[in-house]
Amino acid sequence: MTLNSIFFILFSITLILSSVFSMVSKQMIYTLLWAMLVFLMVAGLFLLLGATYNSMVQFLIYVVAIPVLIAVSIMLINQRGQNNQLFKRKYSLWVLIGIFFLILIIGEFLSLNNDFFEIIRSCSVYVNPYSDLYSITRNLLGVYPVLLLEFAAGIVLTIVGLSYYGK
Amino acid sequence: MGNSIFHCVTTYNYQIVSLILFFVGLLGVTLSRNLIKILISLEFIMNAVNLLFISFASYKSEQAYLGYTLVIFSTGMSALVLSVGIYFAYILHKKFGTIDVIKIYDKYKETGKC
Repeated sequence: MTLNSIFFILFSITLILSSVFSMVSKQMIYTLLWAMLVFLMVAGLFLLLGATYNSMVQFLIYVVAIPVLIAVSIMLINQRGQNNQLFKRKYSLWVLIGIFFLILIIGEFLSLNNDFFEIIRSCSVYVNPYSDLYSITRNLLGVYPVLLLEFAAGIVLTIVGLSYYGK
Repeated sequence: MGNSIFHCVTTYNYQIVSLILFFVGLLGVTLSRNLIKILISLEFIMNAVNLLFISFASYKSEQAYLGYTLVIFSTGMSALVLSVGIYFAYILHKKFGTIDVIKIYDKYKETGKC
């Protein structure tokens, strides 16, 4: 079990669970916090795939900039007491149909056995030498320590501010 | 399957994760009534597509940067779409007093104008 596999499983499970929690949570602030976690995990998957620059862009735009924009819009709209629930009665049939098709498509993907999917399954992901997790961490901590501090402080400030507003 | 996920992560695994995220976003767009929640679900869909692009780009090491560049543009465009959508949500809230899409539609049917 490699380090890449461990991080992939961790990121993907967190991504799927937090996306579902984001959809079913009642308050908009918690929806936004779970969505931030989803975007962060997508940035982590980009990092694992070797797209370090894309990962940083994803981080800066989706985890730092867009939550601030949405939080300001929630404060402006101030929609407390409004309906934030999913459709329950009318559209539950559509949910079931969607889940059915989701299972069907995933099963289709799993059962396909022709050459194209065999090639995709057999190839391992290309990771360039500069995107190794150790080297990225070494670069972040060694060459640009200020950037890491800025990212951490930005995330902590955003989460603290949103949690304070949520109360 | 020959390769276990614990042994070697392939592009196939990334595509499955991308598919699940896409469907969660699709369900959020179709089922939620809150306009901002619909926009966040749209961002989930955009992220799923970006993840798919990056996984396909990582398959070929020579042309990887083509896909990476495309995803950078896609990220910028999705941020733009979100900001414009939030502005529309604010305008609708000022006009109708709610961002519930069903209530907005009912009020639009009553008044007959937007």
